[in-house]
Parts: sequence; structure tokens; C-alpha cells
Amino acid sequence: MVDFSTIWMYLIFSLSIVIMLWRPKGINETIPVAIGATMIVLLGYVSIEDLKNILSIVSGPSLTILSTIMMSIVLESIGFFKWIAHNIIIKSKNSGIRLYLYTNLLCFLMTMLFNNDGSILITTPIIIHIIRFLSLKPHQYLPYLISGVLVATASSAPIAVSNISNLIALKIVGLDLNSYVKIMFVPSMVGIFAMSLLLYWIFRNNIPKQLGLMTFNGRMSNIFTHPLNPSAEAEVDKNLFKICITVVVATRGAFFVLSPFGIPLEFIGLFGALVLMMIRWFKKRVGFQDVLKSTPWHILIFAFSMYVLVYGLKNAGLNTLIISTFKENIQLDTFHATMTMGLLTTVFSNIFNNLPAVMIGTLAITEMDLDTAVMQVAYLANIIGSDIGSLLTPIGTLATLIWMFILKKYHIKVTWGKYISITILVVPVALMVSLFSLYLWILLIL
Amino acid sequence: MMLLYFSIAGFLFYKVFLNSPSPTKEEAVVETKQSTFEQSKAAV
Repeated sequence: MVDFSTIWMYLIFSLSIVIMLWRPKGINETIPVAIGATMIVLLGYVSIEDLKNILSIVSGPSLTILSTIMMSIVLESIGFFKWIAHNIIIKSKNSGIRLYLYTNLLCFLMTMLFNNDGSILITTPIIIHIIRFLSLKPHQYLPYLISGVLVATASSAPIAVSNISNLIALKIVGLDLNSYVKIMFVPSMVGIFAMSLLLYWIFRNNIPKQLGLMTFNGRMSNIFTHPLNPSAEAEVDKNLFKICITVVVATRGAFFVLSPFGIPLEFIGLFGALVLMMIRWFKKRVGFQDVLKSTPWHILIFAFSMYVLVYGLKNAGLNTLIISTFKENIQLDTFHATMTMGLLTTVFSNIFNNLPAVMIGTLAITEMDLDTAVMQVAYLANIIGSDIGSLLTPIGTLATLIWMFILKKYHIKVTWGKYISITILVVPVALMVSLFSLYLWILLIL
Repeated sequence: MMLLYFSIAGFLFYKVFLNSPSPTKEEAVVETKQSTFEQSKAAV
């Protein structure tokens, strides 16, 4: 029989998640999660010892993600992203299909070089500026917006450093960054490619063939400046952009080169952000204050509180339930481990968001006493479920929720029904392609 | 290998999204020995 305290635990967890997704009066998502976590600690579901353990697991990945956000704040301040939007329009050469390819490529590379949430925060306003500038109708702009969010979010799967939930789970399961990439890069890229092809096929009739761009003196007019006053364009410092993108790439590379020597990822990320701020100070004499002020430090509390909630569920017996239900199936072989964990995390993510889902899945895997190879495969399938399978509904990831929030801010109406009518055709296929590729890739390399 | 991968990704990013034929700070300034007034006078 389920005891009263367990019901309390599930009730606090459910309420915290519902309020986090709902965000009444636009409250920060950290507030309900932090209140829920505090209640759980006060009620004694999570001990002080557990809290110390949680802090050591969560702090590093949170700071790593924050460092990439700091980098994007610096770049935003020097006009980096406005310049990208301007270039995309010019390079599209009046072709809607070319614009579609460029926006998808931008979303993919932004997640690769920064992180999924940061990518959404930056690319969605860029796409909105472009579609507004081109005066596209709703059926014409939906392909750009929906494929952008799906590609940007799914692109966090190939490398672990593009997503906070991947990093936290990586730390729990004890896998290093290079081993992760060796196994995950190819299968998830196959999945993303399949997703992009499907999206193009679905949207092929809605993407405008011609964009109807105006030209002035033989040149495409600028999205951010009046054609008669190209002063903002003249202020662009391409040299600074070149230096900045080199620092971003070097920091990404350093994650993989330096982490095997025991250097924590967060140190590398924060050092990269510091270098970028120093360059800006040197070139433009702008201090660090705006970056420190705009960085969403609450992510630290959010990730910590979310893990406290999940730990409470674990202590209340959810893990035991998952283990007793799925362990037998997962233990059979790598195929069963891949499919079971991938689908389980997909279902969990679409019910209560992928961050708690991936934490619950990873904690359950570590307690199943699995063979190391099967455990790591199950964990990676768990990540595919959380990064790709979670895209089925807008609540699946924080990135899609942020995307919905930005659209609302710009008065662009994309209903849940419209979103799901597309994802229901794309996400299950991309998920199964990724999971099956993971299984085949493991057979090939192990 | 990942360093090479990111170098390619960074290069692609620069080439596609940052490098444009439009004038930059340096290119926007056209150096000439004649003043605008002298140029106009010569044209007339």
C-alpha cells in the first residue's frame, strides 16, 4: 500500500512542475521548483548529505552552460547576431528555400557552438526579424519557426556540452566527454538529418519560392538600417567578429582537449567567457557589468532544485518502481536497453519536461546493476529520448517553452495543436531513426 | 578530432553568416585626394 508521505512527495513534485510549465503571471520558472525543493527538504525526503551530493553534481554543468550564455551576451552586445540576420537575407538571394536552409544551418551551428536554450533565445528573434522584414504570411513563416526550434533543440544531442541535462546525466553515469561524442555523434546526426529532411518534405509547399526583396542601388536593403542611411552597416567590425568566433571555437575545442587532463569543464567555459569579455573591453572599452547583470544566474538554483525534487521522488520509491518494471527488459541486450530507455524518457519528458525526466532515467539506470556497456548505452538512449523524443510537445524541453514564450512576446500565434500536428509526423520518426542508429553504431564500434 | 570538427564548424559559421560582401568599417572609408566639392566641380 502506498503510504501518506509518498502521496505528499508526488503531490509536491506534480504541483511544482505544473506551476513551472504554466508560469502564472510570468513568474520565473525557478520559483515554483525552488519552493517545491525547500518543502521536500523540510519534510525530510532529502537529507543534508544528499544536498551536498546534489550540489557537487549540478554546480559544474550549470556553470558550464552559464559560461556559454555569457559568451552569447558579449556577442549580442557587439552586434554579432544582427549582422548574421542581415547576412542571411543577403545570401538567400531572394530564394525562400535558400533562406530555409540558412536558418536551419544557423540553428544547428548555434546549438553546436553555444547551447540549446541560448540558441533558441538568439535564433528565434533573428528568424522573427527576418519573417517580419519579408512580410511573410503565417503559413509561409511557420516552416522557418518550427523547423528552427526543432533543429536547434535536437542539435544538443551530438555533443554533451550543448545541453545542461546531458551534462548532469553525464556526471551521474561517470562517462567522459570524448567517449560520449564517440558513441553519440553519428547516431544523433543521422536522426537530425532525418528530421530536417522530413521537415522540408512537410513544408515544401509552404516555403515561398521568391522572397520579393527590395533592392536599392543594386544592393539588397538592410533589415536593420534604412537603405538611405547605412551607417549601422558601416560600423560592423568584421575583425572583432573573427576574433570572437575563434575564441568560441577554441573554448569548445578545449572542452574536449583539456577535460581528459582533469580540468573541470566549468573552468574552461568561464575562462573562455572571460577572454571574450577582455577582448570586448580592449576593443570597445566596455566593462563586464552588463554581462554579469544579464546572465541568468538563477539557472544554478533551478537545476539544483529540480534535482532535489527528483531525488525526493527517488527516495519515495519511484526508482524502485521503474527498476522493477523495466530492469528485466533492459538487461536482455543493447537493443532492448536502447529502445526501452529511449521510449521511456520520451514519455516522461513529454509529461513533465526533459530535465527531471533525464535525471530520473539516469538515476534508475545507475541502480539497475547493469553491465557497464549496457548501462552506458541505456544512458545514451535516455539522452536521445530527452533531446529528440521530448520535442513531441512544447512542455518537453525548456527550450521549446522559451520558444513559445518568445513567439507570444512578438504576438505570433502558434497553438499547441499546430505545433503537435507537425511534431507528431516528425519526432517519432527522428527518434526511432536515432535509437536504431545508436544500436547499429554500437554494434559497429564496440 | 573534436578540435578539427569545431574548427570546421567555426569556419563554416564565419563564411556563411559573418563574411559578407557588404562594406566594413575599413572598406566604407574611400580615400581620395580630392575633396567632395572638388569632385563635384570636376564632374560639372
